[in-house]
Amino acid sequence: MLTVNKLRKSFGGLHAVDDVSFKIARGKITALIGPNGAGKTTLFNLISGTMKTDGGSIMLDADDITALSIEERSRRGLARSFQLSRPFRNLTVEDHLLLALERDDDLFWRNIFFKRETKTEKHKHLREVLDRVSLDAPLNKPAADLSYGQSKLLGIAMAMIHPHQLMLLDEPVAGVNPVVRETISHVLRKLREQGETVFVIEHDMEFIMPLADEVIVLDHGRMIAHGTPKEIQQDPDTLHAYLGAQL
Amino acid sequence: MDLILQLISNVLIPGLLFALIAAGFSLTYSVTRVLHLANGGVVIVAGYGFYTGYSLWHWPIWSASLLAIAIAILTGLFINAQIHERMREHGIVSAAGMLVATISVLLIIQNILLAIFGSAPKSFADLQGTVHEFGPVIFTDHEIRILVLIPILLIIFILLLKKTKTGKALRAVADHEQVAEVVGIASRKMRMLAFGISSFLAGIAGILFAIEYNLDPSMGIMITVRMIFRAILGGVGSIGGAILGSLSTETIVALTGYYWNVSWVDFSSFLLTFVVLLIRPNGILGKKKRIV
Repeated sequence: MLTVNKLRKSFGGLHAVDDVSFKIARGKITALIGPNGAGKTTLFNLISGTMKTDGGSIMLDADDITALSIEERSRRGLARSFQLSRPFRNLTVEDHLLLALERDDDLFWRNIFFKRETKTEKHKHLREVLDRVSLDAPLNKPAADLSYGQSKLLGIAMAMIHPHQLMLLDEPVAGVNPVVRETISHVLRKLREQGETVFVIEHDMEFIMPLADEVIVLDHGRMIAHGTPKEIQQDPDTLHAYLGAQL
Repeated sequence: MDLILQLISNVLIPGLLFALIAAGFSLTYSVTRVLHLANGGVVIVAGYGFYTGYSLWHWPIWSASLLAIAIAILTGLFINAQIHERMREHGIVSAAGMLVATISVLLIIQNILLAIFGSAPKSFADLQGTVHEFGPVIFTDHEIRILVLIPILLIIFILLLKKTKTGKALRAVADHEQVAEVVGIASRKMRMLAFGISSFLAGIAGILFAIEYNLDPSMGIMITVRMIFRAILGGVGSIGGAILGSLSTETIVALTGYYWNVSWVDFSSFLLTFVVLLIRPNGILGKKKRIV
Protein backbone atom coordinates (compact mmCIF):
# COMPACT_ATOMS: atom_id res chain seq x y z
CA MET A 1 0.00 0.00 0.00
CA LEU A 2 2.70 2.51 1.02
CA THR A 3 6.04 2.31 -0.72
CA VAL A 4 8.89 4.48 0.49
CA ASN A 5 11.88 4.49 -1.85
CA LYS A 6 15.33 5.93 -1.06
CA LEU A 7 13.85 8.69 1.08
CA ARG A 8 16.28 11.34 2.31
CA LYS A 9 16.09 14.37 4.59
CA SER A 10 18.98 16.33 6.08
CA PHE A 11 19.17 19.26 8.48
CA GLY A 12 22.52 20.88 7.77
CA GLY A 13 25.02 18.07 8.14
CA LEU A 14 22.65 15.80 10.05
CA HIS A 15 21.07 13.01 7.99
CA ALA A 16 17.74 12.66 9.78
CA VAL A 17 16.42 10.19 7.19
CA ASP A 18 19.09 8.55 5.08
CA ASP A 19 18.19 6.50 2.03
CA VAL A 20 15.27 4.70 3.67
CA SER A 21 13.19 2.24 1.62
CA PHE A 22 10.38 -0.07 2.73
CA LYS A 23 6.87 -1.21 1.91
CA ILE A 24 3.87 -1.32 4.18
CA ALA A 25 1.37 -4.05 3.50
CA ARG A 26 -2.36 -3.47 3.48
CA GLY A 27 -4.33 -4.67 6.51
CA LYS A 28 -1.37 -4.88 8.85
CA ILE A 29 0.00 -2.95 11.79
CA THR A 30 3.55 -1.87 11.08
CA ALA A 31 5.58 -0.40 13.92
CA LEU A 32 8.41 2.08 13.47
CA ILE A 33 10.88 1.93 16.32
CA GLY A 34 14.29 3.36 17.08
CA PRO A 35 16.13 5.29 19.76
CA ASN A 36 15.60 9.01 20.35
CA GLY A 37 16.84 11.02 17.39
CA ALA A 38 16.65 8.02 15.05
CA GLY A 39 14.49 10.02 12.60
CA LYS A 40 11.14 8.35 13.24
CA THR A 41 9.04 11.51 13.51
CA THR A 42 10.94 13.08 10.60
CA LEU A 43 10.04 10.03 8.51
CA PHE A 44 6.38 10.41 9.52
CA ASN A 45 6.54 14.11 8.67
CA LEU A 46 7.93 13.28 5.22
CA ILE A 47 5.19 10.72 4.61
CA SER A 48 2.38 13.00 5.79
CA GLY A 49 3.89 15.97 3.93
CA THR A 50 4.56 18.26 6.89
CA MET A 51 8.21 18.26 5.74
CA LYS A 52 9.58 18.29 2.21
CA THR A 53 11.89 15.49 1.14
CA ASP A 54 15.44 16.06 -0.09
CA GLY A 55 15.17 13.01 -2.31
CA GLY A 56 13.41 9.72 -2.89
CA SER A 57 9.75 8.95 -3.44
CA ILE A 58 6.60 8.01 -1.55
CA MET A 59 3.93 5.98 -3.31
CA LEU A 60 0.43 5.40 -1.97
CA ASP A 61 -0.74 2.39 -3.98
CA ALA A 62 0.08 3.41 -7.56
CA ASP A 63 0.10 7.17 -6.89
CA ASP A 64 3.31 9.11 -6.34
CA ILE A 65 2.43 11.47 -3.48
CA THR A 66 5.97 12.82 -2.89
CA ALA A 67 5.21 16.29 -4.27
CA LEU A 68 1.65 16.58 -2.98
CA SER A 69 0.60 19.04 -0.29
CA ILE A 70 -0.37 17.87 3.19
CA GLU A 71 -4.08 18.32 2.59
CA GLU A 72 -3.92 16.55 -0.77
CA ARG A 73 -2.23 13.55 0.86
CA SER A 74 -4.89 13.68 3.53
CA ARG A 75 -7.57 13.64 0.83
CA ARG A 76 -5.87 10.70 -0.86
CA GLY A 77 -6.32 8.71 2.34
CA LEU A 78 -3.54 9.46 4.81
CA ALA A 79 -4.83 9.99 8.33
CA ARG A 80 -2.47 11.00 11.11
CA SER A 81 -2.36 11.54 14.84
CA PHE A 82 0.41 13.54 16.49
CA GLN A 83 2.89 12.63 19.22
CA LEU A 84 1.95 15.74 21.16
CA SER A 85 -1.79 15.86 21.25
CA ARG A 86 -2.83 19.31 20.05
CA PRO A 87 -6.58 19.85 19.77
CA PHE A 88 -7.76 23.08 18.20
CA ARG A 89 -8.55 25.68 20.81
CA ASN A 90 -12.12 26.96 21.00
CA LEU A 91 -13.46 24.00 19.04
CA THR A 92 -15.56 21.26 20.62
CA VAL A 93 -15.08 17.50 20.41
CA GLU A 94 -17.87 17.43 17.82
CA ASP A 95 -16.19 20.16 15.74
CA HIS A 96 -12.96 18.16 15.68
CA LEU A 97 -14.66 15.00 14.49
CA LEU A 98 -16.70 16.83 11.85
CA LEU A 99 -13.63 18.62 10.49
CA ALA A 100 -11.90 15.25 10.20
CA LEU A 101 -14.96 13.54 8.73
CA GLU A 102 -16.22 15.93 6.10
CA ARG A 103 -14.51 17.41 3.11
CA ASP A 104 -15.41 20.98 2.22
CA ASP A 105 -15.40 20.17 -1.47
CA ASP A 106 -18.06 17.48 -1.38
CA LEU A 107 -20.00 19.06 1.46
CA PHE A 108 -21.24 21.91 -0.73
CA TRP A 109 -22.54 19.65 -3.49
CA ARG A 110 -23.83 17.02 -1.10
CA ASN A 111 -25.91 19.63 0.67
CA ILE A 112 -27.51 20.62 -2.61
CA PHE A 113 -28.13 17.24 -4.22
CA PHE A 114 -28.34 14.74 -1.39
CA LYS A 115 -30.22 14.47 1.81
CA ARG A 116 -27.99 15.36 4.69
CA GLU A 117 -27.72 13.25 7.78
CA THR A 118 -30.00 14.59 10.46
CA LYS A 119 -28.32 16.01 13.51
CA THR A 120 -29.36 12.94 15.50
CA GLU A 121 -27.89 10.56 12.90
CA LYS A 122 -24.70 12.58 12.76
CA HIS A 123 -24.38 12.65 16.54
CA LYS A 124 -25.00 8.90 16.66
CA HIS A 125 -22.20 8.35 14.17
CA LEU A 126 -19.79 10.58 16.08
CA ARG A 127 -20.75 8.95 19.37
CA GLU A 128 -20.01 5.50 17.89
CA VAL A 129 -16.50 6.60 16.97
CA LEU A 130 -15.93 8.02 20.44
CA ASP A 131 -17.22 4.75 21.94
CA ARG A 132 -14.74 2.80 19.80
CA VAL A 133 -11.90 4.71 21.45
CA SER A 134 -13.68 4.71 24.84
CA LEU A 135 -13.68 8.50 24.98
CA ASP A 136 -16.47 9.33 27.37
CA ALA A 137 -16.77 13.06 26.77
CA PRO A 138 -19.80 15.12 25.71
CA LEU A 139 -19.72 16.12 22.06
CA ASN A 140 -20.14 19.76 23.00
CA LYS A 141 -17.19 19.76 25.38
CA PRO A 142 -14.39 22.16 24.37
CA ALA A 143 -11.45 20.00 23.30
CA ALA A 144 -9.12 22.26 25.27
CA ASP A 145 -10.81 20.98 28.45
CA LEU A 146 -9.94 17.33 27.74
CA SER A 147 -7.22 15.66 29.76
CA TYR A 148 -4.00 14.72 27.97
CA GLY A 149 -5.07 11.09 27.65
CA GLN A 150 -8.51 12.08 26.39
CA SER A 151 -7.02 14.41 23.78
CA LYS A 152 -4.80 11.53 22.62
CA LEU A 153 -7.94 9.42 22.21
CA LEU A 154 -9.60 12.28 20.33
CA GLY A 155 -6.59 12.43 17.98
CA ILE A 156 -6.96 8.71 17.26
CA ALA A 157 -10.74 9.09 16.82
CA MET A 158 -10.10 11.88 14.30
CA ALA A 159 -7.69 9.68 12.35
CA MET A 160 -10.25 6.85 12.43
CA ILE A 161 -13.21 8.96 11.29
CA HIS A 162 -11.21 10.68 8.56
CA PRO A 163 -11.80 8.85 5.24
CA HIS A 164 -8.51 6.99 4.92
CA GLN A 165 -6.54 4.10 3.55
CA LEU A 166 -3.62 4.34 5.94
CA MET A 167 -3.43 5.59 9.52
CA LEU A 168 -0.20 7.09 10.81
CA LEU A 169 -0.11 7.12 14.61
CA ASP A 170 2.79 8.96 16.25
CA GLU A 171 3.51 7.50 19.71
CA PRO A 172 -0.13 6.96 20.66
CA VAL A 173 0.63 5.87 24.24
CA ALA A 174 3.40 8.36 25.05
CA GLY A 175 2.61 10.06 28.35
CA VAL A 176 -0.76 8.41 28.95
CA ASN A 177 -1.83 6.54 32.06
CA PRO A 178 -2.14 2.70 32.13
CA VAL A 179 -5.92 2.79 31.61
CA VAL A 180 -5.66 4.87 28.43
CA ARG A 181 -2.70 2.72 27.35
CA GLU A 182 -4.86 -0.39 27.63
CA THR A 183 -7.71 1.34 25.79
CA ILE A 184 -5.41 2.28 22.89
CA SER A 185 -4.04 -1.27 22.80
CA HIS A 186 -7.64 -2.53 22.51
CA VAL A 187 -8.39 0.04 19.78
CA LEU A 188 -5.36 -1.09 17.74
CA ARG A 189 -6.37 -4.75 18.04
CA LYS A 190 -9.85 -3.85 16.82
CA LEU A 191 -8.40 -1.89 13.92
CA ARG A 192 -6.33 -4.90 12.90
CA GLU A 193 -9.37 -7.15 13.07
CA GLN A 194 -11.21 -4.72 10.82
CA GLY A 195 -8.42 -4.90 8.24
CA GLU A 196 -7.16 -1.36 8.74
CA THR A 197 -3.62 -0.50 7.70
CA VAL A 198 -1.79 1.23 10.53
CA PHE A 199 1.76 2.59 10.64
CA VAL A 200 2.69 3.48 14.18
CA ILE A 201 5.74 5.00 15.87
CA GLU A 202 6.13 3.68 19.38
CA HIS A 203 8.79 3.76 22.05
CA ASP A 204 7.01 1.40 24.39
CA MET A 205 8.24 -2.04 23.30
CA GLU A 206 6.02 -3.99 25.70
CA PHE A 207 3.07 -2.20 24.17
CA ILE A 208 3.88 -2.45 20.49
CA MET A 209 5.58 -5.82 20.04
CA PRO A 210 2.48 -7.95 20.75
CA LEU A 211 0.38 -5.71 18.47
CA ALA A 212 2.62 -5.25 15.44
CA ASP A 213 2.64 -7.55 12.43
CA GLU A 214 5.86 -6.02 11.16
CA VAL A 215 8.52 -3.80 12.68
CA ILE A 216 10.86 -1.32 11.01
CA VAL A 217 13.91 -0.18 12.97
CA LEU A 218 15.60 3.17 12.34
CA ASP A 219 18.93 4.24 13.78
CA HIS A 220 20.68 7.50 12.95
CA GLY A 221 18.29 8.00 10.05
CA ARG A 222 19.02 4.62 8.43
CA MET A 223 16.78 1.59 8.34
CA ILE A 224 18.71 -1.18 10.05
CA ALA A 225 16.05 -3.89 10.21
CA HIS A 226 12.60 -4.81 8.89
CA GLY A 227 10.75 -7.96 9.89
CA THR A 228 8.30 -9.58 12.23
CA PRO A 229 8.52 -8.68 15.94
CA LYS A 230 10.14 -12.07 16.58
CA GLU A 231 12.79 -11.47 13.92
CA ILE A 232 13.46 -7.98 15.23
CA GLN A 233 13.81 -9.24 18.79
CA GLN A 234 16.62 -11.51 17.57
CA ASP A 235 18.23 -9.07 15.17
CA PRO A 236 21.79 -8.35 16.38
CA ASP A 237 21.96 -4.87 14.78
CA THR A 238 18.75 -3.84 16.50
CA LEU A 239 19.83 -5.26 19.82
CA HIS A 240 23.13 -3.48 19.53
CA ALA A 241 21.79 -0.16 18.33
CA TYR A 242 18.72 0.25 20.40
CA LEU A 243 16.90 -2.42 22.24
CA GLY A 244 19.64 -3.99 24.30
CA ALA A 245 18.37 -5.80 27.33
CA GLN A 246 14.78 -4.60 26.87
CA LEU A 247 14.02 -7.57 24.71
CA MET B 1 -26.69 62.56 31.04
CA ASP B 2 -26.89 64.64 27.87
CA LEU B 3 -23.11 64.81 27.80
CA ILE B 4 -22.81 61.02 28.09
CA LEU B 5 -25.30 60.51 25.26
CA GLN B 6 -23.41 62.97 23.06
CA LEU B 7 -20.13 61.26 23.82
CA ILE B 8 -21.65 57.86 23.03
CA SER B 9 -22.82 59.14 19.69
CA ASN B 10 -19.31 60.46 18.98
CA VAL B 11 -17.83 57.08 19.92
CA LEU B 12 -20.18 54.79 18.03
CA ILE B 13 -19.72 56.03 14.46
CA PRO B 14 -15.91 55.92 14.18
CA GLY B 15 -15.80 53.04 16.68
CA LEU B 16 -18.03 50.82 14.55
CA LEU B 17 -16.25 51.78 11.32
CA PHE B 18 -12.86 50.85 12.77
CA ALA B 19 -14.33 47.75 14.42
CA LEU B 20 -15.31 46.50 10.96
CA ILE B 21 -11.88 47.23 9.50
CA ALA B 22 -9.96 45.87 12.49
CA ALA B 23 -12.12 42.71 12.63
CA GLY B 24 -11.08 41.83 9.07
CA PHE B 25 -7.48 42.66 9.88
CA SER B 26 -7.60 40.35 12.91
CA LEU B 27 -9.08 37.51 10.84
CA THR B 28 -6.32 37.71 8.22
CA TYR B 29 -3.68 37.86 10.93
CA SER B 30 -5.09 34.82 12.72
CA VAL B 31 -5.39 32.66 9.64
CA THR B 32 -2.36 33.79 7.62
CA ARG B 33 0.00 35.21 10.30
CA VAL B 34 0.39 38.24 8.02
CA LEU B 35 -0.03 41.72 9.51
CA HIS B 36 -2.14 42.87 6.57
CA LEU B 37 -1.33 46.58 6.81
CA ALA B 38 -2.47 47.04 3.21
CA ASN B 39 -6.01 46.52 4.55
CA GLY B 40 -6.18 50.30 5.04
CA GLY B 41 -5.33 50.58 1.34
CA VAL B 42 -8.17 48.20 0.48
CA VAL B 43 -10.53 50.48 2.44
CA ILE B 44 -9.65 53.53 0.34
CA VAL B 45 -9.61 51.50 -2.88
CA ALA B 46 -13.25 50.67 -2.09
CA GLY B 47 -13.90 54.35 -1.35
CA TYR B 48 -12.51 55.37 -4.75
CA GLY B 49 -14.37 52.52 -6.42
CA PHE B 50 -17.55 53.95 -4.96
CA TYR B 51 -16.53 57.47 -6.05
CA THR B 52 -15.94 56.21 -9.59
CA GLY B 53 -19.30 54.45 -9.81
CA TYR B 54 -21.38 57.06 -8.02
CA SER B 55 -19.77 60.42 -8.82
CA LEU B 56 -17.97 59.82 -12.13
CA TRP B 57 -20.24 57.30 -13.84
CA HIS B 58 -23.43 58.44 -12.07
CA TRP B 59 -24.49 54.93 -11.17
CA PRO B 60 -27.18 54.37 -8.54
CA ILE B 61 -25.81 54.09 -5.00
CA TRP B 62 -26.34 50.30 -4.82
CA SER B 63 -24.57 49.64 -8.12
CA ALA B 64 -21.68 51.87 -7.07
CA SER B 65 -21.53 50.06 -3.72
CA LEU B 66 -21.39 46.65 -5.42
CA LEU B 67 -18.63 47.93 -7.70
CA ALA B 68 -16.66 49.21 -4.68
CA ILE B 69 -17.04 45.94 -2.76
CA ALA B 70 -16.08 43.87 -5.82
CA ILE B 71 -12.96 46.01 -6.35
CA ALA B 72 -12.05 45.69 -2.66
CA ILE B 73 -12.39 41.88 -2.73
CA LEU B 74 -10.39 41.58 -5.95
CA THR B 75 -7.68 43.85 -4.51
CA GLY B 76 -7.45 41.76 -1.32
CA LEU B 77 -7.38 38.48 -3.24
CA PHE B 78 -4.76 39.88 -5.61
CA ILE B 79 -2.55 40.97 -2.70
CA ASN B 80 -2.85 37.53 -1.13
CA ALA B 81 -2.28 35.52 -4.30
CA GLN B 82 0.42 37.63 -5.91
CA ILE B 83 2.38 38.68 -2.83
CA HIS B 84 1.78 36.61 0.27
CA GLU B 85 1.22 33.23 -1.39
CA ARG B 86 4.16 33.82 -3.73
CA MET B 87 6.38 34.70 -0.79
CA ARG B 88 5.25 31.52 0.97
CA GLU B 89 5.99 29.47 -2.15
CA HIS B 90 9.50 30.89 -2.18
CA GLY B 91 9.89 30.13 1.49
CA ILE B 92 9.87 33.81 2.55
CA VAL B 93 7.61 33.63 5.55
CA SER B 94 9.50 35.84 7.98
CA ALA B 95 7.37 38.39 9.78
CA ALA B 96 9.76 41.16 8.68
CA GLY B 97 9.58 40.15 5.01
CA MET B 98 5.79 40.01 5.05
CA LEU B 99 5.64 43.34 6.90
CA VAL B 100 7.83 45.12 4.36
CA ALA B 101 5.73 43.64 1.54
CA THR B 102 2.43 44.73 3.02
CA ILE B 103 3.67 48.28 3.79
CA SER B 104 4.95 48.52 0.21
CA VAL B 105 1.55 47.49 -1.12
CA LEU B 106 -0.15 50.12 1.02
CA LEU B 107 2.16 52.85 -0.33
CA ILE B 108 1.75 51.62 -3.91
CA ILE B 109 -2.04 51.71 -3.60
CA GLN B 110 -1.90 55.21 -2.15
CA ASN B 111 0.34 56.49 -4.94
CA ILE B 112 -1.71 54.87 -7.68
CA LEU B 113 -4.87 56.49 -6.30
CA LEU B 114 -3.05 59.82 -6.06
CA ALA B 115 -1.93 59.55 -9.70
CA ILE B 116 -5.40 58.63 -10.96
CA PHE B 117 -7.68 60.79 -8.81
CA GLY B 118 -5.40 63.59 -7.57
CA SER B 119 -5.04 64.80 -4.00
CA ALA B 120 -8.23 66.86 -3.77
CA PRO B 121 -10.71 65.41 -1.26
CA LYS B 122 -13.84 63.80 -2.68
CA SER B 123 -17.06 64.61 -0.89
CA PHE B 124 -20.36 62.72 -0.76
CA ALA B 125 -22.28 65.34 1.22
CA ASP B 126 -25.47 64.57 -0.71
CA LEU B 127 -25.43 61.02 0.65
CA GLN B 128 -25.30 61.98 4.29
CA GLY B 129 -29.03 62.67 4.26
CA THR B 130 -31.10 64.63 6.68
CA VAL B 131 -30.23 65.27 10.29
CA HIS B 132 -32.28 63.62 13.03
CA GLU B 133 -32.32 64.84 16.60
CA PHE B 134 -32.82 62.30 19.37
CA GLY B 135 -32.82 64.59 22.40
CA PRO B 136 -29.23 65.77 22.78
CA VAL B 137 -27.95 63.32 20.17
CA ILE B 138 -27.80 64.11 16.48
CA PHE B 139 -27.46 61.51 13.74
CA THR B 140 -27.59 61.87 9.96
CA ASP B 141 -29.34 59.28 7.77
CA HIS B 142 -25.92 57.91 6.86
CA GLU B 143 -24.89 57.56 10.49
CA ILE B 144 -28.07 55.64 11.22
CA ARG B 145 -27.12 53.34 8.32
CA ILE B 146 -23.74 52.81 10.03
CA LEU B 147 -25.37 52.15 13.41
CA VAL B 148 -27.66 49.50 11.92
CA LEU B 149 -25.51 47.91 9.23
CA ILE B 150 -22.19 47.41 11.02
CA PRO B 151 -23.52 45.60 14.12
CA ILE B 152 -25.52 43.29 11.82
CA LEU B 153 -22.42 42.59 9.72
CA LEU B 154 -20.28 41.94 12.79
CA ILE B 155 -22.87 39.56 14.24
CA ILE B 156 -23.09 37.67 10.92
CA PHE B 157 -19.29 37.58 10.75
CA ILE B 158 -18.95 36.16 14.27
CA LEU B 159 -21.74 33.61 13.65
CA LEU B 160 -20.00 32.57 10.43
CA LEU B 161 -16.82 31.87 12.37
CA LYS B 162 -18.53 30.22 15.33
CA LYS B 163 -21.32 28.21 13.77
CA THR B 164 -20.43 27.20 10.22
CA LYS B 165 -18.07 24.44 9.21
CA THR B 166 -16.11 26.90 7.08
CA GLY B 167 -15.74 29.18 10.09
CA LYS B 168 -14.51 26.27 12.19
CA ALA B 169 -12.05 25.33 9.47
CA LEU B 170 -10.80 28.94 9.47
CA ARG B 171 -10.36 28.75 13.23
CA ALA B 172 -8.59 25.40 12.96
CA VAL B 173 -6.11 26.86 10.44
CA ALA B 174 -5.67 29.90 12.69
CA ASP B 175 -4.89 27.63 15.63
CA HIS B 176 -2.54 25.21 13.91
CA GLU B 177 -2.14 25.22 10.17
CA GLN B 178 -0.29 21.93 9.77
CA VAL B 179 -2.62 19.94 12.00
CA ALA B 180 -5.56 21.42 10.08
CA GLU B 181 -3.99 20.35 6.79
CA VAL B 182 -3.47 16.83 8.14
CA VAL B 183 -7.22 16.49 8.68
CA GLY B 184 -7.74 17.61 5.08
CA ILE B 185 -8.48 21.31 5.45
CA ALA B 186 -7.11 23.24 2.48
CA SER B 187 -5.20 25.95 4.33
CA ARG B 188 -4.40 27.84 1.11
CA LYS B 189 -8.11 28.08 0.37
CA MET B 190 -8.74 29.23 3.94
CA ARG B 191 -6.07 31.94 3.63
CA MET B 192 -7.72 33.12 0.41
CA LEU B 193 -11.09 33.10 2.13
CA ALA B 194 -9.72 35.11 5.07
CA PHE B 195 -8.44 37.77 2.67
CA GLY B 196 -11.73 37.69 0.77
CA ILE B 197 -13.82 38.19 3.92
CA SER B 198 -11.58 40.92 5.34
CA SER B 199 -11.61 42.72 1.99
CA PHE B 200 -15.40 42.46 1.84
CA LEU B 201 -15.58 44.09 5.28
CA ALA B 202 -12.97 46.66 4.26
CA GLY B 203 -15.01 47.36 1.12
CA ILE B 204 -18.17 48.13 3.07
CA ALA B 205 -16.18 50.16 5.60
CA GLY B 206 -14.56 52.07 2.72
CA ILE B 207 -17.92 53.17 1.30
CA LEU B 208 -19.32 54.13 4.70
CA PHE B 209 -16.07 55.87 5.67
CA ALA B 210 -15.89 57.87 2.44
CA ILE B 211 -19.45 59.15 2.81
CA GLU B 212 -18.92 60.03 6.49
CA TYR B 213 -15.46 61.62 6.32
CA ASN B 214 -14.82 62.36 2.62
CA LEU B 215 -11.99 60.71 0.74
CA ASP B 216 -8.38 61.41 -0.16
CA PRO B 217 -5.51 59.04 -0.98
CA SER B 218 -3.48 59.85 2.16
CA MET B 219 -6.24 58.35 4.30
CA GLY B 220 -4.88 54.86 3.64
CA ILE B 221 -1.96 55.27 6.03
CA MET B 222 -4.09 57.03 8.65
CA ILE B 223 -6.67 54.23 8.55
CA THR B 224 -3.95 51.57 8.72
CA VAL B 225 -2.22 53.14 11.73
CA ARG B 226 -5.48 53.54 13.62
CA MET B 227 -6.67 50.05 12.61
CA ILE B 228 -3.54 48.36 13.90
CA PHE B 229 -3.52 50.30 17.19
CA ARG B 230 -7.16 49.42 17.81
CA ALA B 231 -6.61 45.76 16.89
CA ILE B 232 -3.52 45.51 19.11
CA LEU B 233 -5.30 47.22 21.99
CA GLY B 234 -8.16 44.71 21.82
CA GLY B 235 -5.83 41.77 21.18
CA VAL B 236 -4.63 41.19 17.65
CA GLY B 237 -6.22 38.06 16.26
CA SER B 238 -9.39 38.47 18.31
CA ILE B 239 -12.54 39.71 16.57
CA GLY B 240 -14.14 40.64 19.88
CA GLY B 241 -10.90 42.40 20.76
CA ALA B 242 -10.99 44.37 17.51
CA ILE B 243 -14.49 45.61 18.34
CA LEU B 244 -13.62 46.38 21.96
CA GLY B 245 -10.32 48.02 20.99
CA SER B 246 -12.06 50.27 18.48
CA LEU B 247 -14.85 51.33 20.81
CA SER B 248 -12.56 51.91 23.81
CA THR B 249 -10.10 53.94 21.73
CA GLU B 250 -12.90 56.10 20.35
CA THR B 251 -14.14 56.61 23.91
CA ILE B 252 -10.73 57.96 24.94
CA VAL B 253 -10.63 60.07 21.78
CA ALA B 254 -14.05 61.56 22.52
CA LEU B 255 -13.21 62.25 26.17
CA THR B 256 -9.87 63.83 25.22
CA GLY B 257 -11.55 66.03 22.62
CA TYR B 258 -14.22 67.14 25.08
CA TYR B 259 -12.21 67.66 28.23
CA TRP B 260 -8.81 68.58 26.80
CA ASN B 261 -8.02 69.36 23.20
CA VAL B 262 -8.79 67.67 19.88
CA SER B 263 -5.17 67.98 18.78
CA TRP B 264 -4.24 65.52 21.55
CA VAL B 265 -6.66 62.75 20.59
CA ASP B 266 -4.07 60.64 18.75
CA PHE B 267 -1.66 61.04 21.66
CA SER B 268 -4.25 59.86 24.17
CA SER B 269 -5.35 56.89 22.04
CA PHE B 270 -1.75 55.72 21.50
CA LEU B 271 -1.04 56.27 25.21
CA LEU B 272 -4.06 54.09 26.05
CA THR B 273 -2.70 51.30 23.84
CA PHE B 274 0.74 51.66 25.40
CA VAL B 275 -0.58 51.50 28.97
CA VAL B 276 -2.87 48.53 28.25
CA LEU B 277 -0.02 46.62 26.60
CA LEU B 278 2.15 47.18 29.68
CA ILE B 279 -0.53 45.49 31.78
CA ARG B 280 -1.81 42.97 29.20
CA PRO B 281 0.86 42.34 26.56
CA ASN B 282 -1.60 40.41 24.36
CA GLY B 283 -4.21 43.21 24.46
CA ILE B 284 -7.54 43.34 26.30
CA LEU B 285 -9.00 40.10 24.94
CA GLY B 286 -5.87 38.79 23.28
CA LYS B 287 -4.84 35.22 23.66
CA LYS B 288 -2.36 33.49 21.49
CA LYS B 289 -3.95 32.53 18.16
CA ARG B 290 -7.52 33.21 19.21
CA ILE B 291 -10.13 34.48 16.74
CA VAL B 292 -13.42 34.64 18.64
